[in-house]
Amino acid sequence: MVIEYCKKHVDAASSDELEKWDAEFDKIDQDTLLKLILAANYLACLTTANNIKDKTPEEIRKIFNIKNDYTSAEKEEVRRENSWAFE
Amino acid sequence: MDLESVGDLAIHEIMENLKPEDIARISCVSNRFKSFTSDDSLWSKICFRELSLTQPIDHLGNPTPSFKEAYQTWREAFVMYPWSLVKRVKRCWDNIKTWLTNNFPEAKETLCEGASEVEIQELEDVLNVKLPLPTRILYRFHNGQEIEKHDHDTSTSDISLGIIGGYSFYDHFVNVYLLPISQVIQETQQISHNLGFLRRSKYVLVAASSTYREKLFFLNCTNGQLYVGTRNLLTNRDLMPCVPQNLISLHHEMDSEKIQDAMLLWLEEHGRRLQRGFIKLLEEGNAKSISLFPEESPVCSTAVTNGVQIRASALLVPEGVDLQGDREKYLFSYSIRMSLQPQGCVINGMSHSSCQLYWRHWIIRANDAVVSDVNGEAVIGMYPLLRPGDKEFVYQSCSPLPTSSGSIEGSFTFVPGRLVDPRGDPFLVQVAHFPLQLPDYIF
Repeated sequence: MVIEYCKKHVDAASSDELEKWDAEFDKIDQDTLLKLILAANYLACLTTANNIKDKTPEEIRKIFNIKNDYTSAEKEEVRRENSWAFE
Repeated sequence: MDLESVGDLAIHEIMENLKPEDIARISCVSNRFKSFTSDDSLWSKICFRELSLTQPIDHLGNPTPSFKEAYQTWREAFVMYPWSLVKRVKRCWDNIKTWLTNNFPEAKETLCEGASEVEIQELEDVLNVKLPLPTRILYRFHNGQEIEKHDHDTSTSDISLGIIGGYSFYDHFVNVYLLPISQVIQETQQISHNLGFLRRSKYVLVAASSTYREKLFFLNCTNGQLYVGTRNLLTNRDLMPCVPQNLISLHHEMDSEKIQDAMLLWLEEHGRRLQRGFIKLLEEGNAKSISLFPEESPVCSTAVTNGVQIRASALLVPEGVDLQGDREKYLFSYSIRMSLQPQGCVINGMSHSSCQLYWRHWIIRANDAVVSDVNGEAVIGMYPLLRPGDKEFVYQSCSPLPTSSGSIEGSFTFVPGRLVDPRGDPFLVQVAHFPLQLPDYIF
């Protein structure tokens, strides 16, 4: 569906035609809309999960631009709690 | 825009696709991420999926405040082993323990709690061996069974609690249990005193009969195979392997779940047999034990003649095997179960409410050649009287064979009514052919 939308917008001749087409597009039913949201969500989450797999915390911070807000003591503790995951 | 602002639905979806190790690592990223990973419903699913836990408990059975902590203690307790192999060993024990809970709780009570790394190390140091990995993990879950040795005839307890089970015929009674480490050490040393080759070749005694019968199972720490002592263990070092050799794999580059020694394979197979009813609990009055006589066709044959049902199956008696022998090399024991169906003993349209055995006839074959054709009165000196609704009359006997493969078939002569008051002519009841076969797994 996303692909269809993009194709149409690229190929369209006039903005009038596009407006009419978009109006039709907006009429898609709730059910399909929800499915669209979930599908996109699922795909994005799967991709993100794959990017996280097997990475160290520091690598994850870099990829997603996350600030490390642990104090030194907190960092040590959480690392100790989860040491089994770092074999 | 950063990952933290994406929203809970997405975060949750991402977590569902991560391994527990990754989730644990994420909690080290930032405080916000730590709170994402603290959702206990996430860990509850992981605990159920990986460990079949429905309650948050640690590896010793103690409750923990959350599933997250439970999972953590499990991983920490077994951090020195490949986790996939730990899960496999747990499934093996769970399978056996579920059956015990449902059928033989008295035996389950005897299972000791897991050994510590220190205790396992002591065994290795004292006996100068390196236990294969799966066996180490097996002991970490349960350190054998707490069983009192007893002389079957004079014992006050009729319950034989070995979880491997056994059999009896004439005066030969065995019931095999798993030794706790303290006994493994003590008894291996004792036996190795007389049989030096056991020590040199890294054999440890892991299972034995609790009766004073010499049925001994040794784990070879070098090749990972389990061996059972035969009749000539002392005189000729004769042992038999208990598990198909080609299944043993002590190292696996790619997948540590596939590391399997004979002890693990043996217990997994035993658990499967119990679960599917291939072998069952035997109850005779107050006596209870796991009987190794097969209950499943075609290893167990069934035939009904005139309402009389005879079920029959055999097993190998390894401690009676004489590998140096000729005509009497392999010893088999067989169990015959007789009963009268509800309609009674029906002959020529007439129904009798009982019948009694008078005579037996056996044809014993080694491979396909008849080696024995015997006739005689009674069975083990008894003349069983069968009535509809009674429990099966069961008895055991034995037969040596020159080959590892053969069969027995035969017939019993019964009279309707009773021997002292026959209500008709004697009639033959068939015992359908059942195999005598060296098994792939020896228990």
